[in-house]
Parts: sequence; structure tokens; C-alpha cells
Amino acid sequence: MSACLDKQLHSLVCIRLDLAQNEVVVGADNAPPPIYIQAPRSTYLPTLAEEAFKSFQHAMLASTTAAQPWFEHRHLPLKWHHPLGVLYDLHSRLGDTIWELTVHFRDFPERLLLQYSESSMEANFFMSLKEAAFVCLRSSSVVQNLGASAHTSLWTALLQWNTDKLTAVTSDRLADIRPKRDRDLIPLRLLLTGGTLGNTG
Amino acid sequence: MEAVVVHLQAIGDAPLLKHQAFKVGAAEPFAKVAETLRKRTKKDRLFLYLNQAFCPSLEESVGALYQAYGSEGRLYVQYATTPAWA
Repeated sequence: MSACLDKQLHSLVCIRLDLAQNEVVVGADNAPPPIYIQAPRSTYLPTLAEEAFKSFQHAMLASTTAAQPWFEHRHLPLKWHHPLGVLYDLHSRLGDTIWELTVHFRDFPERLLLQYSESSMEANFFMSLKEAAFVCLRSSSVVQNLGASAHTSLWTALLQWNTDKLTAVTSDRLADIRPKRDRDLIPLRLLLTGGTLGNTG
Repeated sequence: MEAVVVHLQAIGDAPLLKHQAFKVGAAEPFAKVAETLRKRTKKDRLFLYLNQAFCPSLEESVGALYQAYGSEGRLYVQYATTPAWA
């Protein structure tokens, strides 16, 4: 179990990130070259945006902001609220050694993706953690009683791709989120591909 | 199961509603419950919870949530104007 968790936390996904063609300013010499990133499976896609914005800013309209970036893979907008590794498993093709993604900074597809900000990303993460704790222990108090400093260090570890810090917090404070008796439930979320909003169960 | 009875429980100073229960199609996402509640309370900022503990993903289907967390034929949803079980 812990070996599996360790592997999961320390695994990286290789990503090639291009700026969306239609966001390259007309008249700019060429589309900017792609950037290559090795990102941990446990983080979320929007954490790639800062570096992408810096690299691509010169090729975009001056009015473009980094407020609500979104990502697509083969024309499919990716849901920011699932961890990066989960999205990779769902959408990459077998044999893809480098996952090719396109980043957009404009025209957020509101009908396909939930709107977000950093605080809603954080809320989403902690709510699913609480849901998992509830399924397991019939109570979310483990997460509710984390305390501000553990809460912050857990979240910043995820944002900063700091897997050592992440492991430290989870093994210290969240070790209780696991089934203890035979009749305890295991939190499991099954994601199915092929649908749009509402396809998760 | 075609529809789920959602039973609302106001927390703190959240406005009480005349009708505390309503039916939602089982295939609808939880976002539909949030949207209905925002319309009825006329509040844009609301925090929704299940089991007085967590808010599920807004795209989760109401039917799946009922199967996991419903009881007595209902899905109990608490709502508040400020974060309650943060």
C-alpha cells in the first residue's frame, strides 16, 4: 500500500505544451516553440499555467491574462478538477511517451468546464479529501481538524510539486484515512471517458 | 430511479424556504441543486453540504449521490451563506 502510494506520489508525466494556434497574435513571426514539462501526477493542470504564460506571453495579445487558463488534448478540453495523473490515464493513448497538450488563455469553454479560481481549486481538493474521509470513516473530522498550518502546507505542497512535503503531511496527519475494519468502505471514484459534464460516477 | 427528493436544511443565517424539499432528475448534476437553491434563496453565494461535512463535485449526478449518501428516500442537503464545515 505505502509502496504503491510512494510510486504514485513520485511519478512524473512528461508533457509537451503548445500555445493554441488561434491565440498567437497575427503578425508575430512564428508560433512560439513548445515547452516541455515534467509534472507530478498528484498535482493539477492549472499549476502548469504560470510557466506557460511566461513562455508564451510575448506571442499573445497584450490584453491576455493568466486568469483562467485551460488545457486541451486532441481538441478535448480537460477538466481541471481531476488530478493530472488521472487525466493522463484517461486521455493519453497507449504508447504516448510525451503527452501533447495545448494551453489556452482566452475563450474559456464555460459550457464544458467548471469555472475556477485558485480558491475554488483549493476548495475542490479539500472537499474531495473530506468526501473520501467520510466514505472511509463516516466522518470528515480528520480533515476538518487538520489545522491551518497543515492545511496550508498540504495545499502549497501540491501547488509547488513538492512531493516530499506532501508525503510528510499525508503520512503524519491523514494516515487515518484508510479502511480499518472489514466493513469499512474504500473511497473510489470511477471516471468514464466518452461523455461531457455529468459522466462521472 | 428517475428522480431524487432533495431535502434542504438551512444552516446559520441562511434564509428558510417555504418548500424544504424538491425533486431533481437522478441524471442531473449536483450543480442543478446548487442553481435551484440560488434561485430560490435569491443568494448568489451559497455553500452546500452533504452529511454536514463536504460538498460533492458539482458534476456528480444527483442519483449517484443519493445512492452513496441518501437515506430515508431523501438526499439531505445543508446550505449556508458562509462556509460551515470548512
